[in-house]
Amino acid sequence: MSQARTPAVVLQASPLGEADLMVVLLTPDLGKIRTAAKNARNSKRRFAGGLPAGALGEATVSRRREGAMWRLDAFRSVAEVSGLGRDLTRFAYVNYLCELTDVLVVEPEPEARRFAALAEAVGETLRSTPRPAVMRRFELRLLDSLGLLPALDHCCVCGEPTSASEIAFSSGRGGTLCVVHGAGSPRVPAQTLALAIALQRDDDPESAWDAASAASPAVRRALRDLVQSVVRPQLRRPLRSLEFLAALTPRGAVNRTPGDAP
Amino acid sequence: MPADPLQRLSALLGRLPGIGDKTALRLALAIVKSDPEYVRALSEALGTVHNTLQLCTQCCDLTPEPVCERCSDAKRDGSVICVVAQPQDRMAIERSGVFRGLYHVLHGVLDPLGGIGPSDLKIEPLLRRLEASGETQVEELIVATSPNVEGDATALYLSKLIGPLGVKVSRIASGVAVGGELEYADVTTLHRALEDRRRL
Repeated sequence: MSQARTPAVVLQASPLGEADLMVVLLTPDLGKIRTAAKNARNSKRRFAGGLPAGALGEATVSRRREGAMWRLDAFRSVAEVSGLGRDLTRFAYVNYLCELTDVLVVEPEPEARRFAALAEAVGETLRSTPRPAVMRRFELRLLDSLGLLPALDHCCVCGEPTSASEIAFSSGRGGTLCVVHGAGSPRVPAQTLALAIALQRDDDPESAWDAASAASPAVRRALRDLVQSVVRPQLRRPLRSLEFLAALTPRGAVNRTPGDAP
Repeated sequence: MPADPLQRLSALLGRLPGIGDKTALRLALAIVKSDPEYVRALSEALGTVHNTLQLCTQCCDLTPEPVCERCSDAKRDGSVICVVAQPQDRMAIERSGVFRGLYHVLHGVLDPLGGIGPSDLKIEPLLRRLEASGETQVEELIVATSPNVEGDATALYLSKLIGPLGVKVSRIASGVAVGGELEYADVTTLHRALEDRRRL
């Protein structure tokens, strides 16, 4: 029997039998793991506050032997997550963060930077007003951790630095392209690329979020479209959380963040 | 599907929620050992429940009639509707005997990752019901979904949708359990209890 206590984010929880839950976790050292939480729908002690997608905390997991399924023995939230259902935009954003991670990350494939990126994005979204800039930084860092981040400051064919007010970009070819190799490719404003570079750096997320939030709507939309052009081909299916976000406007009664939302 | 009748029955029972392989076999064996009259009644009840139960045209609860007995009961208070996620939630509230208004069953809660969005819930019938309430104007909608993230999100969604119609939307209270002791309550429950405190 091996047991581990690890930081974790709940990516998804679904009913398993009468009172159990199947819980998918992202952890720094064990990677993405599928766990069975016995009696989780009844237990208020071991899983206080429940196990909603986006719950950020410390998980106690165990398994009988190498290769066996993990069992989630307890989960202690370190971030207040029970209020998530009291803000629909926040609820949708956190679901998007978790679903995108769940769909793109293969089990178990541990990667500490990936966990840090998700924990940062979930933590920030739970703490403050949900911002598309937080989603963008997470998407870029997730792509980076998966080896899918496109070239942003040099030609992905010849390696030459790219510099112009508008730069050729092709997600299919691997990112930005120089004048020679980018003939005929769509152009992206240099400001958008600069924003993407600043967002995916490890240092000073606050400044990067602020800069991205302060950019013009056109630049922010261009950044969203650029990131989505890289993310979309990697998805095996349409994201349900995005369908949910789109469905938040029936009869115009429920507001959502316009413009560059995911 | 197994050809052996016992295995077949066991496999069919095992598809029900909360029934594992062992329990399914135990139930199948119990049925085999039961007297024929009971087995006939059970078989008939299974067929009847599936053939006759339908959704109430008013509240979307399960009923053998087009309109359920609660919606057709003139003594109930039509100005208050209690919105629940599932028929079993309605049954639990009804058992308590404290609510004499009408119900509406959503048949789920918002769960983006489970692929359940607003259009998958019985929200449109609720809106039609409110718009058509006419003289017996609905004054209050009590959202009695479970106090978890999905239940809260569903309640909030309904309040944003229905609030502008001039109907008061309220949420059932949550917090420390009656009879429980404060020192054993978890942080999340205490947080919610303090946040949702009420004036005495």
